[in-house]
Formats: sequence, structure tokens, C-alpha cells
Amino acid sequence: MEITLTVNGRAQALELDPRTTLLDALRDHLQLTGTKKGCDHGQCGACTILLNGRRINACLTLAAMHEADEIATIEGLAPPDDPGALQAAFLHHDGFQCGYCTPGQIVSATGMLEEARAGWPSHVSPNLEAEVALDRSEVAERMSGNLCRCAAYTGIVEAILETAEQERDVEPREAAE
Amino acid sequence: MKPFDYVRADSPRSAVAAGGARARFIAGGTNLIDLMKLEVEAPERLVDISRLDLGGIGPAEGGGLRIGALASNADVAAAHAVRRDYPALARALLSGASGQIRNKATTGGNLLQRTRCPYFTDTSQPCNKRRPGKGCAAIGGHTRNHAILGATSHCIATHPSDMAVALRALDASVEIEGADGSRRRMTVGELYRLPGDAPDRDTTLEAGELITAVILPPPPAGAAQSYRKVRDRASYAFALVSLACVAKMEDGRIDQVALAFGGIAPVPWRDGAAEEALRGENPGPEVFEHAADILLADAERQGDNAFKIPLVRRLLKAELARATGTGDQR
Amino acid sequence: MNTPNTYIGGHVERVEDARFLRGAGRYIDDVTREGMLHACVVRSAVAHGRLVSIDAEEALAMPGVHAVLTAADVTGEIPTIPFRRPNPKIGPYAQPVIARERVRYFGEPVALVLADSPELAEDAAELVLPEIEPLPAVVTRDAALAAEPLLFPGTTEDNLAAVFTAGKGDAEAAFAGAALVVGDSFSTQRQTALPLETRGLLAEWDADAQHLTVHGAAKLPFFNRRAMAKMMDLPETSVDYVEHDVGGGFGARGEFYPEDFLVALAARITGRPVKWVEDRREHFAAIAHSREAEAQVELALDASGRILGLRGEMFMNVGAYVRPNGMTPVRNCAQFMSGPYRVPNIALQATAYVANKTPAGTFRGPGRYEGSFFIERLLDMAAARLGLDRRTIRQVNLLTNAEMPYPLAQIRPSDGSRAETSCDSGEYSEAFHRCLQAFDWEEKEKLDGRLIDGRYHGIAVSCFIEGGASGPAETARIQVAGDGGVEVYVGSSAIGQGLETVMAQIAADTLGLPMECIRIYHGSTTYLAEGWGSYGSRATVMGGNAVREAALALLARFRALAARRLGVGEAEVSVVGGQAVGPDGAVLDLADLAAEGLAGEAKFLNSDATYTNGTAAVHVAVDPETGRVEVLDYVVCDEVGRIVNALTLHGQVTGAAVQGFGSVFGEELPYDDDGALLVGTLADYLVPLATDYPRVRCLSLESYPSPTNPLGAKGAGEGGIIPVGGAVANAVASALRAFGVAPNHLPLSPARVWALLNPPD
Repeated sequence: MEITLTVNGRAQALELDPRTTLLDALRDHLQLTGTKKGCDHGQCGACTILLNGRRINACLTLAAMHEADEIATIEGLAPPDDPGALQAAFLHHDGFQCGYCTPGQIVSATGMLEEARAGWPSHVSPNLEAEVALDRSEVAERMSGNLCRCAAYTGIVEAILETAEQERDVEPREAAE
Repeated sequence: MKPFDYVRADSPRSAVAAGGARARFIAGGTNLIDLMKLEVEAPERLVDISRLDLGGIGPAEGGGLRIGALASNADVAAAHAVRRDYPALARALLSGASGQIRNKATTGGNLLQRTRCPYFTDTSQPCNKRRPGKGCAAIGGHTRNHAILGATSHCIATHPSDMAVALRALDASVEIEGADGSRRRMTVGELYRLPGDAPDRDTTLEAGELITAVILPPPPAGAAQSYRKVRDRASYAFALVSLACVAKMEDGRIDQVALAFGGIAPVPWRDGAAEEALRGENPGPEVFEHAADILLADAERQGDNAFKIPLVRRLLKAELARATGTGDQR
Repeated sequence: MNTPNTYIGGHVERVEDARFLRGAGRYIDDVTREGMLHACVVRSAVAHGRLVSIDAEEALAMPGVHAVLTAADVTGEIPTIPFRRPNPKIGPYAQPVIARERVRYFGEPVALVLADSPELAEDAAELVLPEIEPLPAVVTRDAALAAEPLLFPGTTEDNLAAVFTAGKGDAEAAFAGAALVVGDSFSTQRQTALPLETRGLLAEWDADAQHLTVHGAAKLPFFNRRAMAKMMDLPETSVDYVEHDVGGGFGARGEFYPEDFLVALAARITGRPVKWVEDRREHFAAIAHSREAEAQVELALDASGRILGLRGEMFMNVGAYVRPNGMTPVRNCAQFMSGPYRVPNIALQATAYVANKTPAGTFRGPGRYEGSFFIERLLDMAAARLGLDRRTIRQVNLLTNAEMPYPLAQIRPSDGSRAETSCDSGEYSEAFHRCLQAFDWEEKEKLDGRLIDGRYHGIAVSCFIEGGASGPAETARIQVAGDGGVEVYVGSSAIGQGLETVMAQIAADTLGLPMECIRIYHGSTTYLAEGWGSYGSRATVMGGNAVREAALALLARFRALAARRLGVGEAEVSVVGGQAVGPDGAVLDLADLAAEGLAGEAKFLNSDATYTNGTAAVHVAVDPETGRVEVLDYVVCDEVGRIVNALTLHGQVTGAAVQGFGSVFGEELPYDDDGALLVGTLADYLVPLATDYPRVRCLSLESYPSPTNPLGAKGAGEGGIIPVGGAVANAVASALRAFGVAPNHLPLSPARVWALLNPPD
């Protein structure tokens, strides 16, 4: 079937088998190979992308279902010559070893920080209605959909926390909804 | 994945018209696509309902909250009305799956997700839920995650949803559009069916029926709500045992109580007799113990899940003590 | 070293990382070729049986399907995969690259489908119908030892692939004179390394040049090239293995697997590039498993807790065939069970038996993790019996630097350079004390065995050595490019461990240049005529010293060329910071002489192992209602001879420790009685998440450089995992002391711990 996907701001027409997952469409048909396949069943998070700004597993959805959506991948998050704050923090905190889970971690963290900014609580939040205060356990819980077999979790969590703190210092939070 | 026809629905009516026994509705897809890849599910037609206008969360007619079937698990957990009035539901949702999956999984899909019994998802193993009459490989196999209540010799799988457990405790209903365009409502309790000798049917829905919304009655005023989940790792794992508890005290006595359990049965489990034994009583260890006795009277262990019986008992007692202010307030 | 040292030892951020952070890493599935075919492996769904026929007609009739290869497409004998460490007994157990008459494990390749897309290949593979007459499956040790049935009837007389002995002194006499003998049965469960990137290969056949290129190399490209060349009947120079980015190895990835041959054969037969990428379910059944070991072992001690002797038997289920390094865990477990302790008398026997399960190989700390678990449990049991503090019993037995080199047990039959080996250097009590101090043992001991908020708390300490620097050699070549950049080619492979950074640090320091000038090329046979790779924690020591020697050779050449150009004697030229300065102050840059062939080559030879030593301490809490154990604190201190890069070192140590938690608590590959693997997804095989374990605290010391190599470094990529089983099991035992439980069988899954507390009536 023919479908048009809008990825990183660019619309492209594709001829796809309806069975094609969004992940395979990105990797095999759009040559956006930064999004990785680790398990193909939503259990590892290596394929995390942003769908209309929200993080999802690209392996658990069909490309055919996303004609009208805005899709962002690791390649679209930051220009090649100017790594974003998260990327810099991952480097500084040694947030990976083999790098295979890294794009998924970074995209997931991007979406997660947005969720925290919107005030979404998590399983470990003591109070459902209080303002979100990210700490180590909050970040770990919110990132539990991303597996790192090298187990660089300490660095990953620290990198994300540092980014969250920087953002808070730079742009004062908007008033809670 | 087996080939299928892909159809996009533009209204609930057109969706049910395109549905049927060999078709599946797809919205979030987080469970269905997983099962299609494993070829546990092989629908001939996929009816994409993700663009239908069923995502709203707002007041229900006559009080309470109406959650559209397409509202994502993340949106429901983040909705202020849910956090304020139905904290047990918010907690249940937040304890399930991962951030990525909650963003995609929908309310209707969550209710209709299939068991995580590993023998169900491994097509090289016999499974009556997957192919009725083939036998059950779980019986006598690895059964840590299996049922202690409501199981039969045909199937011992548990229902995996956290959300459904909370909804059951909150007396929620589902709104359904039938293949002929008719609408009906039933409680979450009525939605699910015990396996009996037809474990392939998880629910009482007819072929082609579409869940369009979940309706929550007005929140029980003054009641304490909680959702506790015990699992084998700290996050992103299904419940060994979970408990949604809604309890209200009046003059030192238990006035209202609803206890729904996950991880122990093929359906989100409630036991009216156990709740009845608590109503009107002065809270205390003996009363709780008695309710647990009733709840667990018919509990049957499989090989590896014997631990669930004392665990359910402890969880029930601890939660009731907390809810009634008679124990540890942690 | 006589060069300025600015990078080695520093917290140098990794140079690989820029591409990983942008999603620009290039892993094997990211590599494509025009006209490429996609392969899907048809695998046996029967654990043991006679392969009667394979019906591929329906698959071949599908449009877009090009071929279905089976054993019939292999001319002559079916090649078998060679061993990394051959020994006299294992020959008949080598794995054929494809099943011909018999299948011996669930997942064994029986056919390869080639199609225009991966989806088509997968659809077609489902239509390939192998007819297999089932035979009784050998799953347990008892069945294997009873030879019921034989896996290789007519070829072997039993199911024993090998029996190793590890010996030293006179164990019988030591036991006869002991004040205390403690012994018990222990076991560790079958699991796998599970790199996040599954395996993959892309093979290209150039018919005109008669040249085969295999993309997707990892770990040991040169060995695999040799194996492939032999199987393909080609000269070695007609085969290349090319490495791309590699998403984790941990011992399992990069060995020669059946698919290496099958994908290459497919490329040769079809004349088109052929790509195969494993899916996750397939990965569980196909990649090497490890760690399925049982032991019945005893320790003899005197009344003060000094170890007099160690003896006993071990049995390892190595699966259906002996894979290239299938014997490594078996012999390691016997040879290294004595760990960092002074054990004068040893008599251990390790038996490798075959069974109808996926063939075994290595997983980080192979054999060492198992052996450490066994001896650490014995030490705590002995301490309890002798009324000794668990620290004391270790302290009195830890090796001292004055005893170095300290010989470990000899392994027989000899299977390579390490049959006899000695600990190289170190005062082992140093890391021990530093670890306990950081852990705050005295304070935590107050909680030991106590029930607090419904959970029992326990602590334990465990010591280890880690063998590294696998010999015999590594190669490097360094050349100066026209732009003055320095190209470093090294035989080591990158498997995600930060190799490029470490090699660049060493090259930059030796040459006295900034790291930015250095470009590292590694892991492909195209770069060097010979090389070895990355396994057995060897890259930093072996590759690092090769790079250092090549850099020194380059500097010597630079000096000679500069002297000639300046018309002065070599002794009159000084070389500093990438510049040669003549007696009159004339300066030449590296780039000035690049055109004259400014290069250096080295082959670093070393067969002596390095031994990092260390200690881990752990604090756990056990929930008696669910059996779940939570790790509250974990401290590991290791002494690594020389720290080249503290950042990557700590990454390795903490990552290994967390993998160890996965090993101890949950990761398990269960089989049913018919030999079917019951795990196929990451929902069944629970690997650690960010939420599962505390921040591992990690200290590294460099007090005793290894005398085996000029850098003084010791291999340190695996040590983090070695002590975890013993430490955690002992902490659980200590927490549950009131119940007198003996957690001697891993994993300590919630179900297992609960069963310990609630024994069946």
C-alpha cells in the first residue's frame, strides 16, 4: 500500500506491505538506521521514537497507521555538528558502552523530560498531584522501558538528571496547569 | 506475521461493520502487534480504529467520569480528574508496562490484552487459550505467574491488566457498540469470563463488538483508594499479585469496601462474600483474617505459585489495616 | 615510560561516542549492498532426532524466493567448526555447520532460505518442512552420564566431551590432616550473554577475484578468517572479516557460528551479497549459552581457617556440540576455583558432558564466576563451623605480593598456553581492606541477620582474581598520513568497550601527540596481515602494548629519517611532541617525513596472564513473603596494575557487576523434558533495568603493575561479574541465618528463595 510518512519534518511517500512496522519503515525504507532493533517486541526500548512528541516503541506499531503523524527519530533531535544537552551529558557521564541502546535512551529521555515538565507523575512519585521532582529513582523508573545490557545505568541516570537540572536553571518552569 | 487486509475506520459504525470473527480492531497495537509477530494472533483483517474520536476524558452523564476507549494509558494516568478522584486507577496505570507503551496503549486495548502466560505466546507449546483442545503446557510447567483462583484443568493463565483490576474495584462499566449498531453497557466484572472449558474466550464480547468507553461512577466520597503491586522486579514487570482497595469508614466501622485482585486469577478478581464479611465490622486483624479465609477458601496452588496464597493474605491484611487506619500507615 | 604521560590514567571521555549519540553508529544491520539477498535460517523444532527429509518445494515456489540451501548443497563432508583450544578428546563433538542426518538441539540450523526481503525469507522459511523422527532427548546430567541415549552413536562411547583435572600438591594428604572439612553440592544455571544487538552477517563473494568478504566480525576476526578459508578451501588471503560497530559481546558474540559458513556459502552459490540478521527469539536458541554447572566440592582447613586443600568434582552441561570455546568455562572453573587464595593442595575434576541443548560457549568471566561462587560459599560455611569472622577466614588466605609469582593449579589435558599459570603481582589484602572500608562493614554488620520492616538484612564479602591478557600475541601498525594524522591499526576488536579511546590514549602518550591526531582502525582482517582480537580481557594489555611498541618503532624510524634529512647523526636528533629537532634547532614535523614511509609495526608477544585481584561487599534485604532479594549496596574494589582510562574501567566493572546481579537473581534458560527451550523473549528472560539495582560503588587501585608487560596493565573487563554469585548468596545466607538455609543453587530467583524458606513437607 502507498503511504506518506512525515519524519523529522520531511514527508516521504512509500510503497509498503501493510505488515511493515514503523521501525522497519524507518530503517529499511527511509534509511534512518539510528533507531535500533533490539528485541522487536517492545521490551528493550532501542527503537524508541517520538510520535507527535511522545515516546513510543516503533517496533510495536504499523507504519500504515501513521500517515498524519509527526515522527521524530534520533537523527532529527539535534543537528550533527551541535549535539544537544542530553547528548553532551551522556558523553560526560559515560552513559553507554557499545552504543546500541543509546539512540533509544536519548529519544526516550527527551520524551520523558517532556512528560515530567507536563507534570505527569510516575509509579514512584509519592504524591500523584504534587509537582514532579526528578531524582535518581524517578529517572530510573521513568526510563525502565530502555534496556542497557552493558548496564551503564548509573551514567545514563546521572546524564538525564544533569540535563533536567540544567533545563530547570535555564528556563524557569511555567506555572503548573 | 501473517498477511492481512488493512482497513481504516472513520466511525465506530464503520469499524463494527468492518469487524467480525476473523478481524481485529487495532488502536495502540502494543499487545496485538506483539502477538501477531509471534503468530499467536493472525487476523485476516485489521480494522484501524486509532483515528476515531474516542480519546476524550470528561464528565459522564449523571456524574462520574467517561474515559474514551482510545484515551492512552498515559493520558488517563495524567488526567487531573483521575489523579484527584480515582487515584487507585492512576496508580494501577503507572505501575504497568513502560513509559513508551503507556503512551501508545489505549484504554480499550488495555482491557482486552491477552495473558502473558509464556506457553500462550510460544506457538511450539500446546495451549487451550490459543488453540482450544490442544492441551495446557503450563500445568506441570513453570507456574510462578499462574492462577490460584478461577483456573480450570483447561487453563491456569492470569489476566495481566493492572488497569482492569482498579476499574473492577471502582465499579466501572464499559460502553459497547455492537455489530448491528446497537449500544450496550456492562460492568467490568461482567466483561470478563472465567475460562471454564473455553479458555480461548477472555471476555463476554460478541464478535465484532467494539468498546467505545469506560464509565466510572462518581468517586466514593471519603473513601481511601490504593493500588499495590508485588512483582519480581522493580519496574516493567507483570504483577505476581496486585490489589486495588477502596474502603470507607463510618463511625469506626467499615462502611464500604471493594477489593479487586490481579495476578491470581483469569480475571480481575473480586469476592463479594469476603467484602460482605468486612462491611459493618470493626476493623481488626481477626476480621481481616476472616475475609482472607473466605477469599482464599477455594485457592489452589500449581507447582511454583504456592507463595501467592500467603502473599494474598498478607497483602489483604496490610492494605485493609492501612485503609482503615488500624495499622502501619506507610 | 620515557614519554610524556598525559592521557593514560586520566578520565578521558570516549572518542567513539559522538557517532553513537547521533544515531550514526554503523552496526551490521545498518550495512546494505545493492542486490542483496536476505537469509532466514530454518531451525530444528526438535531437540534430538533423525533428519529424514526437507521439503522446500512450497517455499521455492514463492515469488522472490531464490534458494533454499540444505546440507545437500554442501559438497563433500559437512565442515565442522574448529576449536579455539583443541584437546585430544573433543574432536568428535565439533559442530557441523548444518545438520545432515541428525539434529541435536532445538534451534539447530537445517536449512537457509534466500529471498528478496527479510520478511519474504521469513515467510518462506515457515513453509520449509523438515521431517524429523524424534529420538529421546538427553536433558539432564544423569541421562547424559548414563548414555541414554548416546548423542554420537558409532563415533563416541559416552556423552563425555572432556574430563579436565586441576592439580597441585597432595590433596589427599591435606584432607587427611585437616582440622575441618566442609563440602556441599552447588550449581549455577544456564544463561546467556545477551548482547542488545543480535548477531548478523553480510557476506560478499567476488567471483572474478575469488574473494570472500564477511561483514559483522567481532571478537576474533583472524581466527574466524582462518576457519572460513579452510572450510571454503580458499587461501587465507582470499577471505576478509570486516568489523562494524558492535552492540555488545560479553564473550558470546563473534565466535565462529554455523551461520558464518551458511551465509558465506549462500553468497558464493548465488553470487549475490547475502545478509542475515538474527531475531531475538532465534538468538536465545542459537547463540552460545553458558554457566550450566554443578559441583560437589570440599575444602580442608586448619583450626585457624587456613586452607589446606580443595578437591571435588564438577559437571558442566556443554550442550549438543563443543563449540570453539565450549571448553573454556569447564577448564577455567577447575583451574581458577582457588581464586585469590593460597591453596597449596588441589585435586579437582571437571567433566564436560553433552546434552540436547544449545551448545555452550563463554559468557563474561567464564568458569570463574561459577568457581568463585563455589569457593566463596565454602568459605562462609567453614567460617561458621570454625567460629571465625568471615573477613578473617579470607584475610588469612589471601595471597601476598611476597609470594608472587604464585602458581595456580595445573590443568590436564593441556589445551594451550595456560595449562600452568601463576598470579603475577599484588598484595591482595589491599583491595580487600579498601573495599570493606568503603562498604563500612562494621556499621552494616549491625544489621546482619536482622528483620527490619518485614525484610531480613544480610551482608557478605567475596574476593576474586580475574585472568587477563590472553596470549600469544597482538599486532599493531602505525603510519603517518600525508596530512600529519597518525593512523593506528590494531588487531584488537571493539565490542563496545571503548577500545578506540584506550588505544588512542596509549598511542598519543607514546608518540607525545594530542589524541585528536590519532585515528584508530581495528577489528578487520583488511588492516593487518595477522592479529588476534578481543577476548579474555586482553585488548588493553595485548593491543595496548602492541600499539605502544609500534609507536616506539615509528619514533625510531622518525629519528632515523630526520637524521638523514638533516644530515646529522641519529644521536644528535631529539624527538619530542611529534617533532624531530636537529642540533642546530632545525625542526621536522611527522608530516614532513610522511612521504618517506613513516610507519612502525609491532607484534607484542606475551603468554603470561595478568591477574587483577579484587574484593566485593554486598548488603541485601530479603522479603520472606515473596522471596525477592533487593541489593541495597554493592562495593567492588579491584587492583588492575595500571589504570589506562578510569572512566571506561569503571564502566566495565560496574556493568559487569550489574550483569552479575542478573545472573544471580533471574536470568535463566530453562528447558522442558523434551529439550525445548522455554525462553524466547525479554519478557521471560529478565535482564537488569535501571530500576533494579543500586549504584554500584567502584574503586580501582594501581599499586602493583603487572611484570608481564611494559604498560604494567592487567585485564579488567570481566572481574566485576566474578564475585557476584558468591557475595550475594552468602549475604542471603547471612540474612536468613535464623532459618539455616543454604543458598547453594543459583539463580536466587524469588521462587527459589521462597522455596528455601518454605521447604515442601
